Amino acid sequence: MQQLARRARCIRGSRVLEILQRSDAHSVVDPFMGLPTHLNYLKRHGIAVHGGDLLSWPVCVGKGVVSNDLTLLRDDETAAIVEARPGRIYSGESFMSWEGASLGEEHCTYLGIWRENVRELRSEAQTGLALLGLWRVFCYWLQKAEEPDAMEDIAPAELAWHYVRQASQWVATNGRRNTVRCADAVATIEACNADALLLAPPSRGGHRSIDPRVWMWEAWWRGNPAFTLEQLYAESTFGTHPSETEYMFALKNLINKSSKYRLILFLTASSHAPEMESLLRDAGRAVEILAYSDDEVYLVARG
Amino acid sequence: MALFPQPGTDPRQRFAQMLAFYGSLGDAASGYPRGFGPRKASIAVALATLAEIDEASRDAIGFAGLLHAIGAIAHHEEPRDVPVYGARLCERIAALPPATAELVRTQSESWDGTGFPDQLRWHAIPFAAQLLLLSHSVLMLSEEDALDRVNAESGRSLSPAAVALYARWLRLGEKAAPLEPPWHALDPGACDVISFLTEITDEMT
Repeated sequence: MQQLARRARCIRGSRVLEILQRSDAHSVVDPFMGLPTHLNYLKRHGIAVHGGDLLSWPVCVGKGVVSNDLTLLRDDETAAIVEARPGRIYSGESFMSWEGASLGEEHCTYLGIWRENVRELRSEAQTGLALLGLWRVFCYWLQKAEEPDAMEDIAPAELAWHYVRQASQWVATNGRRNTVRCADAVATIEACNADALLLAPPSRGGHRSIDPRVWMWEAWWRGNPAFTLEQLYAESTFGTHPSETEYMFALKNLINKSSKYRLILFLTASSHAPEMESLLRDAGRAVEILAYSDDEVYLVARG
Repeated sequence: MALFPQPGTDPRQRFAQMLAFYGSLGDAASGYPRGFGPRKASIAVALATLAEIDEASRDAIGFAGLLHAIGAIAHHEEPRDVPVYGARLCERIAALPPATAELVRTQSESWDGTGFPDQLRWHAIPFAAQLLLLSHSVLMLSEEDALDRVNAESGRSLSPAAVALYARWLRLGEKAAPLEPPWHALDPGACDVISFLTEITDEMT
């Protein structure tokens, strides 16, 4: 059975917004965005947002709730996603290798059906909304596998209907251009322009402890149940197995490439805050520390 | 209600009464029935007691329940932003237990990430905030309906751990005692009525 993480990354749009407003910043880039709920929050409050990630599914979700201003999923379109279409033949075998302790046969069958249905959507925005809703279904299943008696059995299509419909409530416009891209952090930092840069880099070798709900959903979206993050991280800023020195060098390089941003918000944990603060000061920045909890410390670097 | 402490009255008691009064104004501004905040707080505190959460955290839960909608006094156009305004206000009330503002901000976050304001999910939501959300969900329901409701929401808006705790609490046949604002937890040196009213006015304007 997949062991779910006991800690979750905590980036709050409301906190970031307060910091941006105090610094008179009206646009922000986040090259390690993950699930872009915080960017959605900032967008809804008038900030122009640009996000990037190595994983393709959070970027697709971003096309639904970040760069999309108007497109929703109608009920008939939602229905066409969550149920097998009559008369259509689905390959059905794709995710059977996941059948076991965490997922049952019915779950694996639906994963195959949903993937094919979502892939047929013509709109990137609708694809993103569907992906967000279905991810929540997937999370429910994995959670239920851990706590089978604590959660109810809900028919897959019913649960998917609930979550996919709900995803549309986060669509909003702010009258600004908002973008997301599937790219390495350095490429995103160099390609975008904004008042502020939000950096929440993974910890050293962080991909090895990433929650299965995240990497399995990437595997699902790629249609490759055997996919692992190792392949993806090999070519990234931090590489697959960086030593402490290599990791710090990569961070330093990232900060040096960020010189065009007048404000950097560096999210770290209290245990790493001193060394990250040194990196920012070495780059000639004045640093203010805002610690909200052990896992949510913002180093606000100006200059 | 007199704004200034009467001779012989602990100023923290008067200050706590005033907070409760403004909490009820927040309830009214959000459309909750009279007494919603105190009852929400009392169930959440009872669950926290059962979970053996420490007293300082229970006091913060008590105030966070009372003040859950205080942000609506200043801004109620967008309900999803009320927790942020409330938290901002609580951060400026120095007398409150330090964790109160954090709980006011996070008590509408759902376990599955569909809550507000920040769409936090899973363990990023403090357990005390999970208890406050559960308490909010069951408040207007009979015991039987409440149990059905929380079971249906377990793993969705409500955390399975909070639901299991609630079920245990019902099995024990416990009742939530009416909650007196935990005034003893206020910082006696910071119970300044004038500065509180100034903060409220600042937030409203």
